[in-house]
Amino acid sequence: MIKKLIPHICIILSVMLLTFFVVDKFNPGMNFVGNDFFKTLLVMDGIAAIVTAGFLIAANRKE
Amino acid sequence: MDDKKQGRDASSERRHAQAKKVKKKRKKRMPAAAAIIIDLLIAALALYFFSLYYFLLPQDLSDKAQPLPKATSTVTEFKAIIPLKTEEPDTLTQAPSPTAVQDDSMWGPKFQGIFTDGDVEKTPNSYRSANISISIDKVQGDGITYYVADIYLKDLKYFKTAFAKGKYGKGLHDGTDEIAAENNAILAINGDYYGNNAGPVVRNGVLYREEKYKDVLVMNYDGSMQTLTAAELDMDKIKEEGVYQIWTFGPMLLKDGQPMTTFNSNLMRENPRTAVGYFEPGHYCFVLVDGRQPGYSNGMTLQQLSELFYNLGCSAAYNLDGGQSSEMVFFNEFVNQPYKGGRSVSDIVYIAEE
Repeated sequence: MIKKLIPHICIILSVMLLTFFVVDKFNPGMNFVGNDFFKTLLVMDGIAAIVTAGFLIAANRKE
Repeated sequence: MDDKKQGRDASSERRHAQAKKVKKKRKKRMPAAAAIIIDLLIAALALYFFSLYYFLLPQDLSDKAQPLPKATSTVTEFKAIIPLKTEEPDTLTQAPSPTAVQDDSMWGPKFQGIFTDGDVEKTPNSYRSANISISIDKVQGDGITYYVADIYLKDLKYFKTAFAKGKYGKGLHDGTDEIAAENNAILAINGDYYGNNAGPVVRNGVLYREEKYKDVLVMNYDGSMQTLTAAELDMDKIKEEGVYQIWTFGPMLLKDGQPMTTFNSNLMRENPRTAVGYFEPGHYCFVLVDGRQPGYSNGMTLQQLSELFYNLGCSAAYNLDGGQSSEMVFFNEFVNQPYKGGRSVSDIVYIAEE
């Protein structure tokens, strides 16, 4: 189950991070990149990316 | 032989059945593109709820307010006794004349002649009372229209700030004219829109938020103003010693009283602008630049604004929220022509009698 969910979580978090990054370029005063929420998302996305990559590497080795 | 053949047939049937099952399973699975689209929709929904929670839904955060100590700085420097009558005292040992009035205001003696004796003189672009003197000039040229409100105050208490809905929080907005009317403002400009910006917030001596972000404008209890970078701002010292106001938007527009060419901001190009200038304690100016209205006013770049404050003779100047927020209100009437009619804001800076 986790194996199937993690890549989707990774996509969702990445899209949110990219959106914040783009919006921050237009309105840096709102500090979208740099606030605690952004940092939490970044950490979660990093963990999700590592887990996804781990599953993918393991699957590739099985083939 | 037959047994072997039967066994082979049975195993191939099983494989067939399994392959069919897998095929069926595969057929039931959602296409990858659809799954990704659903992910994108979930991300959009998450972003919507984020903006709803952080920016749109009204949240009263007044409970985070932390009153700062009131610094006792150089406010007595300008105090003096102004005799109203010039009769000589009968004896040298006589008690102070009852007709002599001590001017306890911070800057009354310094700005003698600027205020009235008690009358109120009001014109469409000026106001003069015993405590406040405001004159607003409209300047047009080179495709730019701007307004300069020259302000003299007898005391710091006439320089005020107010929040929309009277509360500190998120998602709380009102028109500059509405907040001004609620607070009996004589002259008001939009503030720093703290609700949509990061950075420290101190209003009327109360600390609401202390996170450091970019340039700030600090107003001390002696009426002096200084612009500081995030690195220069010492929040621990401020919490210990107290300040009257801190605005957070920026950037600073003068460095050591000199015009600047580089700024700590990405909003460099021509825009409607709202800014505060400081000459000396008790003497300030509000500048409102209209913009994005071809034929009337294009707005100012930060460099143009910096040069304007330098030419006005200010020693410090700071850019507040601009664009559609830029509004100046004098006795509940708009002085400027806000871009697209203006918009509601989190806070105002204003001048009012007690």
